[in-house]
Amino acid sequence: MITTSIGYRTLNTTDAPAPDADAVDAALAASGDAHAFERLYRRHVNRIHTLVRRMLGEENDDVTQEILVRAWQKLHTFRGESAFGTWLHRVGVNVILNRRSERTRFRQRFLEEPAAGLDAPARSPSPAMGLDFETAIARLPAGARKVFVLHDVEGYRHEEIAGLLGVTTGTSKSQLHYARMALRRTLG
Amino acid sequence: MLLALLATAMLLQGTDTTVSVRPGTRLELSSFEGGISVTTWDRAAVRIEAEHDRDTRIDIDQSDGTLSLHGKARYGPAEVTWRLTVPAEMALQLRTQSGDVRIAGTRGSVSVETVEGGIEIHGGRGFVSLQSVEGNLVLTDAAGRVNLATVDGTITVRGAKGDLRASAVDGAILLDEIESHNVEASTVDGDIRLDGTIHDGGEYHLSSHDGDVTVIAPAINATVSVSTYDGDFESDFPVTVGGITAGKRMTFTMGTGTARLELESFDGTVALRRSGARGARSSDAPTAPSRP
Amino acid sequence: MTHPSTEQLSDYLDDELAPLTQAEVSTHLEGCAECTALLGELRRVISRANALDDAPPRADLWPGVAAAIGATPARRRPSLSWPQLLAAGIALMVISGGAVAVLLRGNGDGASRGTVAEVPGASIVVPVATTAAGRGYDAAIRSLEAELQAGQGRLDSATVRVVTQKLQLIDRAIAEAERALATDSGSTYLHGHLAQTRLRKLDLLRHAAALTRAVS
Repeated sequence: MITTSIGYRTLNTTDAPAPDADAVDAALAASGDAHAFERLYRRHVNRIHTLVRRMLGEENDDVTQEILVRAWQKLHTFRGESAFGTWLHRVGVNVILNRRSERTRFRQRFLEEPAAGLDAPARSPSPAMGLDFETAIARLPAGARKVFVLHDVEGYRHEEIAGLLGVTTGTSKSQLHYARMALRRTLG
Repeated sequence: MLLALLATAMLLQGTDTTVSVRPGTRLELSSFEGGISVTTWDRAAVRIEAEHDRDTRIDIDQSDGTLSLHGKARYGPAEVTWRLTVPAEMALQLRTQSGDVRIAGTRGSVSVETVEGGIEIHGGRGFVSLQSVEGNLVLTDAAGRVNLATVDGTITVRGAKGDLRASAVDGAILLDEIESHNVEASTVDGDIRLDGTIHDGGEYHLSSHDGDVTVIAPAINATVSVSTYDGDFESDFPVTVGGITAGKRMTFTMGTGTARLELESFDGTVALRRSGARGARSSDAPTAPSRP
Repeated sequence: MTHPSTEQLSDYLDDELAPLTQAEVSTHLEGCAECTALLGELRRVISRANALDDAPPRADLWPGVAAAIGATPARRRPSLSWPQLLAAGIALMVISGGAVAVLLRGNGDGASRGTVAEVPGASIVVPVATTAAGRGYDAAIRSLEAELQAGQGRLDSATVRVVTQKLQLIDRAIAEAERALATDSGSTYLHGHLAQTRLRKLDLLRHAAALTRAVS
């Protein structure tokens, strides 16, 4: 027996797939129902806000709001092929990366190649640094931080990341490598 | 002249190098994580000993009268433990995020900033500035303009000559053997003790919200202003006041009255003690021999 | 095979190496404790990344979203430029040595009452537009608090804890001074003490906000 709640009605189904609350609310919201959009907001704002914080290295309520507003505007393009959360997440990444300040500053802050000549693996780092893991992510250089968040936290592949950031997959892998090497010291 | 050394290619766990410097060169060290310890010698050179891993290099740059030291890790912020030997007169500017800083024997100006770390300086001339967020500050035998600020920590000064400013949020301020015409000490939660000479024409302003304010001197010739809301006033010296009133500033003159003492404690006791008198020092300080 | 580079080990974890290289690294790892250890460290970073939690925004952002999509009207949060913050700070300056005390009153009544500070024996009387200074101070505090809040992820958690606790300590002292002032509004000492304590808060917030901007 599968029990699903939508609004105040309860469906008991055995054969049909359970209607997804997000999909239902997205459909309602696409037709202008702000209450339905608020329900979506409540379910997804934490994830979006955290994505913003990790990508930018600091909290930014304005960007979080901007993402939700853009999602509202683009709801008619959500076809339900992916989960709403995934679609919203993609909207978020686009908003974050296309901000005017991000576009101009981003390439300048892109990491230079690491110093040559040390191919052997490094010895273990000295005892744990004072920074905790999330703080260490926030302190990464912008390029490495974005790639790390997209790849290791959010699960994007290098090809996608390269396309989103406008760099080669080689650069994406290199940035990821830097971030992982820097972050491993906080887990020491 | 630009001089950059990559020392880690050769050494496993550190750097040890000595750099000649012209007189008047100042030293600037900025570090992220790791302690800094500085001693002095009479050579015209700086010895740099640094402990760090293989993935970290020490950048040494000398130009425009400044010797700059910087630890650069291959990945992320650098962790370096520094030990420097410098000319005694060298001006020192040290910055670290996390780690204790110790300097001994310096006769130059000193500027140290940490976020998490204690600072202990023996010496310092001309200009001494110590700043921390979380850390105790200890300064002995300094002469010049002294500026100490911490948020969470005690400030201890022993043997200072010259203008002195000390500021804490949560911490006591203990100033002993002070020869100064201008002292300003302020804390929110902590006692303040000033033990020294009250000079003619000097200005001494001590203020605490939630702590006692105590002045210890052999004699006090000053216009004294005492303010408290919920505290008391005590004096070893004879003063004629009609009792203190909450919220009121009580002003009286002692002796020839040429110095100015402004003593404020919202919630604690303001006290004037005579040096050498029994009980003049708080119990945790070493007992001084009676003055003749 | 000599030790793979750390870049190769990172790619190895993601199956991003060419099949032949992937196999070579795999074989190398079987016999190399050092590389295996490093691989383990990188794996822990990835696991940790996968286990991170989401955190809510501190304020409810729905009203702003609702307003933007046309559901309800919004209130814009005011923000101050640095010159305005500086001006607010200057308006609050307490000149030490007992020469002049700047009197601060809380914002609120709207009447632009100038307040005069007097010092026994001094020949200077300084009129100060206190209501404006009070409002400027509050706005400066809010702006700095917002900046600190946004950027505190870049600070070590111990530093955040210390700053938060000491701000609370100052707030308690401010509250005590305000209560005292309510019973004795004529006290020059209490006015000066309150102003000085508020300045301590401003200073600490400025320092903390500056730390969030510093790059390691």
